[in-house]
Amino acid sequence: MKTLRIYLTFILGLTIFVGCDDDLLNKEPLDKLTPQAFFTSEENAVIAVNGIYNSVRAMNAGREYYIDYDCMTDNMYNYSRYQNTQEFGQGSHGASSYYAEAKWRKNYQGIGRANLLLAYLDKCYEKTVSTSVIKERLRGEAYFFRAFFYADLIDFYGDVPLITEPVTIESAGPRVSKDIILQQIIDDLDSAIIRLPVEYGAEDIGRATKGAALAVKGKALLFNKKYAEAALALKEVMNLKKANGDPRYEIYSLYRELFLPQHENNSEVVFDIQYVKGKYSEGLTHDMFVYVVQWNSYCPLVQLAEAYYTKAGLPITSDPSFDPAKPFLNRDPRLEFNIVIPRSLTGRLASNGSPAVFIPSSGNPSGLKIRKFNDYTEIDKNNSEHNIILMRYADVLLMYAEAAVMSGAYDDVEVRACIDAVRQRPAVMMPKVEDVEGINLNPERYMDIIMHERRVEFVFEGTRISDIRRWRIGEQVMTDAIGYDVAEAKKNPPVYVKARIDVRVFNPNCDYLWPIPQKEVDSNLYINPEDQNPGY
Amino acid sequence: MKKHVFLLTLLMLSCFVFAQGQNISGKVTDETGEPLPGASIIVKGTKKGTISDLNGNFAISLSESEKVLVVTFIGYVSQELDVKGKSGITIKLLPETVNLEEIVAVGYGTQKKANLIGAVENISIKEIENRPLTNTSMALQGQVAGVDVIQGSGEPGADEGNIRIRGVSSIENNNEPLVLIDGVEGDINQVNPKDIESMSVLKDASSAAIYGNRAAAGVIIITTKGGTEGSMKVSYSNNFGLQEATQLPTPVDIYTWIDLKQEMLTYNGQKTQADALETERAKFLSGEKTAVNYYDTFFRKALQQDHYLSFSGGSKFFKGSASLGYTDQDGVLVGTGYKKYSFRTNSEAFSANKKVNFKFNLSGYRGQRDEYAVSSNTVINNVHRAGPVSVFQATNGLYGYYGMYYAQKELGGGTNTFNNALNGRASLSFDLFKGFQISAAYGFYYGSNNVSTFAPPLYTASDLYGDSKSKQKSYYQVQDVNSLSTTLELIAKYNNTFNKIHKVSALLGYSQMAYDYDMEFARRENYEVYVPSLNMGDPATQINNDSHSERATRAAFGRIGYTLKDRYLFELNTRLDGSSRFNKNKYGFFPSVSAGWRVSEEDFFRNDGLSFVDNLKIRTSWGQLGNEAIYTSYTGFDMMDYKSPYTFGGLVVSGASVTELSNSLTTWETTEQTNIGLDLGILKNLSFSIDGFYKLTSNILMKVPIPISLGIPSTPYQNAGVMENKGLEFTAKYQKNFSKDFKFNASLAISHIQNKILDLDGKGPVLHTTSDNATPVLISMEGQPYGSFYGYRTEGIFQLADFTWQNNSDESIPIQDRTYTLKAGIPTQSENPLPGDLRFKDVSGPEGTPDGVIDLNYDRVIIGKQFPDLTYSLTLGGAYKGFDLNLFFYGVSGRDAYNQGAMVVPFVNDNGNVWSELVADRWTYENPSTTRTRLFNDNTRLTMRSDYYIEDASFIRLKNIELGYLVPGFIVRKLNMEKIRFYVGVQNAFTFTAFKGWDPERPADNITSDIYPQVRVYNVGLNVNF
Repeated sequence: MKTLRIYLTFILGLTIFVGCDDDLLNKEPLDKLTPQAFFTSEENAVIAVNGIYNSVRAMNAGREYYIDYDCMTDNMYNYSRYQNTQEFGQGSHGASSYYAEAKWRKNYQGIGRANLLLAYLDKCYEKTVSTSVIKERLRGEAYFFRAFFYADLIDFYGDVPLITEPVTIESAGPRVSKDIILQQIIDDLDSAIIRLPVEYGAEDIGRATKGAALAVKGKALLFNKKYAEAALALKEVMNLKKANGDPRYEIYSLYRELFLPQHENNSEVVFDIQYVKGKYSEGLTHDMFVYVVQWNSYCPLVQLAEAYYTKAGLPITSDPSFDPAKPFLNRDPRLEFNIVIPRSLTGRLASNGSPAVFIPSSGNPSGLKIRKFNDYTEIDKNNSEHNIILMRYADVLLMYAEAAVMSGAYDDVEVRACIDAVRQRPAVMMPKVEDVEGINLNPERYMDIIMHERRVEFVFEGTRISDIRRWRIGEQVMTDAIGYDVAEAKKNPPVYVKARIDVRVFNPNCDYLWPIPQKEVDSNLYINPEDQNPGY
Repeated sequence: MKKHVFLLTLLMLSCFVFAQGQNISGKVTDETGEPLPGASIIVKGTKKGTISDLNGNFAISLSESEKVLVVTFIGYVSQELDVKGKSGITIKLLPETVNLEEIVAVGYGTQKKANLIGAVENISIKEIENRPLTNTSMALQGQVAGVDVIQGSGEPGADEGNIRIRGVSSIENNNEPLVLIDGVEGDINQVNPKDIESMSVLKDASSAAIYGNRAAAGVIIITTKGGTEGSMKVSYSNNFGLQEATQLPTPVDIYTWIDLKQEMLTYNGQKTQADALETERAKFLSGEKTAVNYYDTFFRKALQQDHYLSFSGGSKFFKGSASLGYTDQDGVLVGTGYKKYSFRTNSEAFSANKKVNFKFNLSGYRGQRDEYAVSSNTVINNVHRAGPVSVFQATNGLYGYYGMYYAQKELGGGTNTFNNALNGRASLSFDLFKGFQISAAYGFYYGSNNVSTFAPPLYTASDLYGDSKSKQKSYYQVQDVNSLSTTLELIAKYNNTFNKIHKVSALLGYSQMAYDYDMEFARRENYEVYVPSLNMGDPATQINNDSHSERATRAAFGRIGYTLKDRYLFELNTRLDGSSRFNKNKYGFFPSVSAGWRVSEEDFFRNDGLSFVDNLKIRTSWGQLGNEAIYTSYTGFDMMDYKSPYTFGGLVVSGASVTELSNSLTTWETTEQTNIGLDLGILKNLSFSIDGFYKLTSNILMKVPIPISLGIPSTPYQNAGVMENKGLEFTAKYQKNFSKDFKFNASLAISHIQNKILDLDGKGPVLHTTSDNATPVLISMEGQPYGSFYGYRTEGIFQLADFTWQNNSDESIPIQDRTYTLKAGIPTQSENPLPGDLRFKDVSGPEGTPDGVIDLNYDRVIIGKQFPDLTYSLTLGGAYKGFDLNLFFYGVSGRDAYNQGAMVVPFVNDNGNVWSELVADRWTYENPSTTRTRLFNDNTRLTMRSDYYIEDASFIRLKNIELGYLVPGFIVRKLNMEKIRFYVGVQNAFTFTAFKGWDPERPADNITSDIYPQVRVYNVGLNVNF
């Protein structure tokens, strides 16, 4: 009986042991952090904010780059359909198109990260008496990005779901009027503007500044036709001063070099995506090397080349000195800063050591190549720290000029000064507006000038697609893509015969907006096929 | 029964009275009274024994303490006989028949086969014990209707079978059955097949429901051999085998290869390249170059050996057994092999009153697998790619690209995998009062898997002389995985009979399990020395990462059984199961009920001249089972990682983001199953079983896409989707001793299972990855069976008449110089077809009607199915005197396989082998075939999926044939042994199939011939017992 008791005690003991182990079924992840566990310190708050910047870099990674958007416009054509831009140029894109989904996905990824920070930031300071000087700045950065991503979404898709809290699996929502989203964007940017500094110390270069927030605000307002308010915000950027009293932003004297790594973080940069050599260098240059130098899949169009004025500041059609047989003589210097023309030096060394000359081949269907961004001496194709500028002061000036003109109440001198600042950059030095066109021009005339200036200045920077759509000029400019007949252009000297290289269709009933991605329609209970943008 | 007890008591009394030595003589006969010569008579607990003579007579003298004789004869049921006080006895042995007294392991207990209500099948270990099996999963193949086992490959250490019990029930998750080894969850292949005492498969819901949310894919219960009362018994068995690939492709020889390549290039419009091949031909003709058959270079006949030694013995109060196993298997692919060492000890102790029982089992193994630095399948893919022109070894000794694997091995490279496992269980039980027992058990399973891969620095020759060489990437990487699971179980059982007719049983239990998983990985590249150590690699190339997780389950379960008059059977099983994987819905309840009617026990049945029917039973059951086996342990947590870095001021900074979204509502999949069965036994030697089932799995855990606007890159599991399986299973067994010298047995198992996906909850078709990771060809879509083949439908072959060419199709232009354009009206394809290419059907388009374009979105259809209509197996066994012969056939019919990849597409990578099968009826200008394509060398066509590559993979295979000889007892006795048996056998002896690929027995996702071939094994072996 004694042994019986021992055994029974043992078994009962086990039962009790088991009964007490309440945590058995409550396991937490061991090699990953939950937000509750993560947001406990300022250091981690900083890391989470860095994660938002990472999603801006994602906007220019994978298989899409800002430069690719120019392939969907009258600036370029990409003959490789695997790079997914061709269908947008041809007007055959749809809700399952790669870009329609990628842009949506990446913007919402960034929004999600910003929402997370905004929701959890205070929790990082719960256990300490906060004396932080950067806490509000961090909040400002998150507000800035949420607005930045929503502004891009309404620009491309119109009405979109509005999500401002960390998501659960049930957080899906319906499309919300673009006006409401715009209000959210402006509120977020106002919250950012008061929190962000005018400039940063060396270790934080690349973070969002007050100027960036003001410029994004001005852009969002301008793109949504709130001209007077846009002008106010952009004017504030122009008035920003450094601590020493100098203007915060200035037009950089060089143009070609503005886009090279040796000149990064210059006075004209308002906001950019930062890369560093070695790690995290998967920016532009690797693919530019492959696509531009090796494959030539990006083909600048003759339409673009012809858009550049002659040195006299006149369109080629108006300048009697223009010779169609020698089309590249006496042109706006930005033409050759941006485009490699036949028989020009690429900047690269040929295999025999002599400077390489560009001779079009069947691999260059338009007979032209991109020069902008490309350092043709770079041979380390997987390794570049080329920063991608998303907002520069020239854009601020031209947007201000546009906003002012469109608002109807503008100062003629000021508008011309803004435009001239861009075209009279020392490296460019095109004639002043008043020297070609005169003064006291009407708004329509100023808009023509600004629209031309934006195209030739910002080419390949991904801005053209939005400009076409907000100016509603798609039907006018999205004509068939024209290149130079390569067989002729490769001759020495080159012969320039224009040839159609892509058939383009622009349907004004739908092509001013992109479709909501099919996967969103399929998976979002609140967006049904009938809620899709018209024509898709 | 009562009579037996009375006799026994009498005998025991007599023992008591006449406790002294005695001489016994007796006779052994069969059931008809015919004498049985050669029967073995052993004194229980000793090695003392004798053999019956030609007239069945024997004599033996017993000491004072010896009183029990054990009489055995092959093919007959052994008898133990207490002979105390007797002198002249006749022992009538009964032939082994379908045995209703057979005890079958069921969930948390055992049951007499006669009283089973569920669909439970016990596997006869005897039939498989001499097959040269290297793992236990393959032992299941063909043994149970409704259990499908497909061997993945013949690669040593990776040749286990893929087990599916009554079809697949989950779409993206684990479909592996729950395997319990002496009550501890484990891997079926960790058990040495020879250690197994019995193995039972629980197929229906009522049998498996007691295992709750782990049981939806079925349960396999393995019981290992324990000790027996008596002095030490030793048994030893071995097996030596010679393996060869069941089938290898025959490539064309070098000159045919050059002819064909010239033909192919000409047809491609590459006449210049075709002519250039003449210089290559000259090199072979002059003897400057020698053609290489890479199949001969990389495949061999390989040896394998297996040894097994076991000890057992015990007394009334302590029994124990121990075993050691050793397997050494070279692979038929040169440079591959596997060694496995295993051990097991089972011991059991009883208290003086036999009421307390303590059991302790401990087992483990260490497996060591050798491979190349890349997977064997990659090597085999390269063998296909290495045509006869490729240089194997340059004249200066440097290996060519395809000889690189030889070089790697010579320099000490390759992949070494060590698997170690230790598995133990201790249990204590106590019989509290009559029929009531309580027990507690603790078990653990520890497993480790260490993989190290070294690709040493080396150069390969780029030409025949090795003058031009290229450096190959060198690296070393290690991955260590450690896992531990522990189980604690508390059980109370009650069994009793009231008023002789009410049999009641009840069980109540509690169980909890905890699992831990750890993985570490490290890698470096750019080695300069031949030392496989991380320290020797370039630190700048280092990669390291790890992964850890833990989870647990907790359950309470119970069973109530009631039998009235031994003929009306009822059972109720339930389990309340909780899992840490889930957040809000942790607990699931899994009930089942079953009922059976032993018609043959009814009085009316006995009286109606139906006595030839031994057994007739009707069974029915219904129940619910769960599945929680998804590939994440934490569904209830948003998870952040540090994979979002950024750079400020030229410096890299950490960035974090949420990458996994929780779904706190996630819960288990539910499988509801209904089973109806009938068992019939007649004439003592024939039995049949038929089962029909319907299985419906709902709430299937799938990664249904979430709105992109949620901003999370990963997709959490959601409960969505419904799938059904319905099936019929038929088993027949026959066993008869025609005379004392001739015995015969046969068994047949046939099953039919039909699978269909009913609902994917808007997820849309699930595309499964296949072995070549290219365009998916397996799809799960609504209304179709799981993982059906998916691709273009072909409409014959493009002929010259389908094209136009230059100068308004000028006939005078030579065929090979034409530039072909498809005629208007023929659907276009993105890969421009030429005469002799496949023509695909334009099924549909964006408007729902054929659009004149063949594209992936609208023109792919279901082109085949991976599950057979019928799976069947037949076992035939016969014994004549000392000889026995066993044949085991296994087959499937109505099953498709997809056969594409390097072997099927010629000239892969330009110089790949050409399989002679492809050449025979190929399309040529002279022979414009309407069924076979031209030769081409096109990597795009390598992965263009169409029904052209679907083949009927039905087969019948003589899985095993074995001839044994039992050495006569009188010789064995002289050697002071119990048993000596020799045998010879062939595994995978013959295959009847129309399948043209490498081997029809392959998993459906293996769609290329980059598979380690199945092997045929010629083997000899020996079993001895001391």
